[in-house]
Amino acid sequence: MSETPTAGQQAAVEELIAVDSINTYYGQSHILFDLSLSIDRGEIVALVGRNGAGKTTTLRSIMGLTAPADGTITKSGDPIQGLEPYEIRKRGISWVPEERRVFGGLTVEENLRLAANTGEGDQSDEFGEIYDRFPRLDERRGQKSGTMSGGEQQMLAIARALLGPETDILLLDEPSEGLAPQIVDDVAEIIRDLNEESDVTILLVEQNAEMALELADHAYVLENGRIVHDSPATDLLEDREAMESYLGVK
Amino acid sequence: MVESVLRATLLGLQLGMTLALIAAGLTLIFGMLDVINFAHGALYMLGAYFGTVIAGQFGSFWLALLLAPLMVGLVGAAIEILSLRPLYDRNPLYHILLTFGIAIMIQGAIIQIWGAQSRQIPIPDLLSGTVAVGPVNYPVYWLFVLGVSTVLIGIVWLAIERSDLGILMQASAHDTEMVSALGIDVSKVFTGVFVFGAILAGIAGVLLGGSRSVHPGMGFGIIIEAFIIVVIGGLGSFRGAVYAALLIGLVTAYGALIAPTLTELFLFIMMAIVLMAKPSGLFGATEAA
Repeated sequence: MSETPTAGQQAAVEELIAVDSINTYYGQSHILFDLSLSIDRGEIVALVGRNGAGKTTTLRSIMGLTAPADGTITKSGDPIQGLEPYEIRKRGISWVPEERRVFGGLTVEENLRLAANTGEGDQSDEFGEIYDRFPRLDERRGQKSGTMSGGEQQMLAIARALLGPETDILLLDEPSEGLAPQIVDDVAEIIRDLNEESDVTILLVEQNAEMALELADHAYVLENGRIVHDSPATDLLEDREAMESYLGVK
Repeated sequence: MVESVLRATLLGLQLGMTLALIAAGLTLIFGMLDVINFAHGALYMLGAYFGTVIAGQFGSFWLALLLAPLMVGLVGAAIEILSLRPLYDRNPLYHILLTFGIAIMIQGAIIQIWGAQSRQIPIPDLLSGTVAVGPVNYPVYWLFVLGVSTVLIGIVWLAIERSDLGILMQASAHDTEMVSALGIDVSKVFTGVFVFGAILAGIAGVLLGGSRSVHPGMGFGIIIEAFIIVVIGGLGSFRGAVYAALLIGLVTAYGALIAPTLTELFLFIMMAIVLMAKPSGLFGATEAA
């Protein structure tokens, strides 16, 4: 530990998540190969790459849903690999899955209450904040979430991930998938607000690489289960050659 | 004529409601744990046997009604934690073999301990005798069974629809992994649901043990009916199980009026008709994502 760092410096260097040489399998198929990445507190980190590169599996590995066979994952220095997903959630890591996976038969309020009940003590303040942040959800409290639009379901999935135990980092899997361009902008705005105003660190997996890189501080490119590029997001965005070869963006 | 129809209706409702207590657990366990629990009938039977023991020992039907289901709940907890939990990731065939084996073990243990002869749970004076329901003299005890089962099913229904625990159960049935990622230890929910189903079956065992004979074959006897109910109602649907149980209860009772020897046939015909018209059952998986 260096001596008396300034607050700014300290925030800049605190490593929140460190993934070190993990290998993850689905049954017999080897998906992630010695994958390492690091996320500092307060960052937005984009994880981009083509379909099937292993982006979702990386999030699932961190969340404990598909546990890596070897390697280590730490949160604020404490190892979390091998823990159950619910234990990982209690350590401040929260997950918004691909296709949102809201509980369609339950109302908006019930979806949120379910998540809030996992936190400690009275959660009514958190509820108020969530409805302030997502007025659309406030209007639709009593609606069955399965009947809402994709954009509304995405907001619900994010809101649900923020309730319950304190959220230090949000793992967002394809939040823009299947949404109209206008709604994609709204979702991007929500992600930026969460990061800037609520100090939530973000690991963003996206097919929509440009949207992700515009939001992100740092970027990793994943190809066939390996990290092939690691740089500040703007560097990647400006490197047309890399964008085209890794992501097929012209 | 009117008398026998009224009598059959009361009997059918009572049978339906007690069957609902058994089928409810079966369908909830399937809906959440994806386990076809062949031991469910054995748990019902254990409720009846624990009931005879407690009522015999302490001379109190009420104590039996209170304690026997809790004891069945404990057995349920042991089954879920010790034997099912390690097998959740396996093919459903393992669950069937396991629970079928447990059912046979429980039946064997009952014959070893209490013998093969029939027994009955003595009912209290308060509930014996008959009472006039319109033109029919109907046993007080059967009315009591109808009342208790109806109230219980009503409470469970409300709890599933409204309470936080019910919401948790619905969500877990829908997407277990997501629930776990929200910070909930789903294995506790699973144990809870299994124990809850076992307790309901235990209650049904004590209630029916007061009016029917308690014997080592009753577990396998009831499981067929319960499965028909669960299939007709829609696998995993509590609401469906309750409606289907009432349907089966009434068909059995009316069938007994018309052609007593054919009632079981009626049940299978009904199941076939429902499956042909709506393969997922009356309330099966219509709201899946």
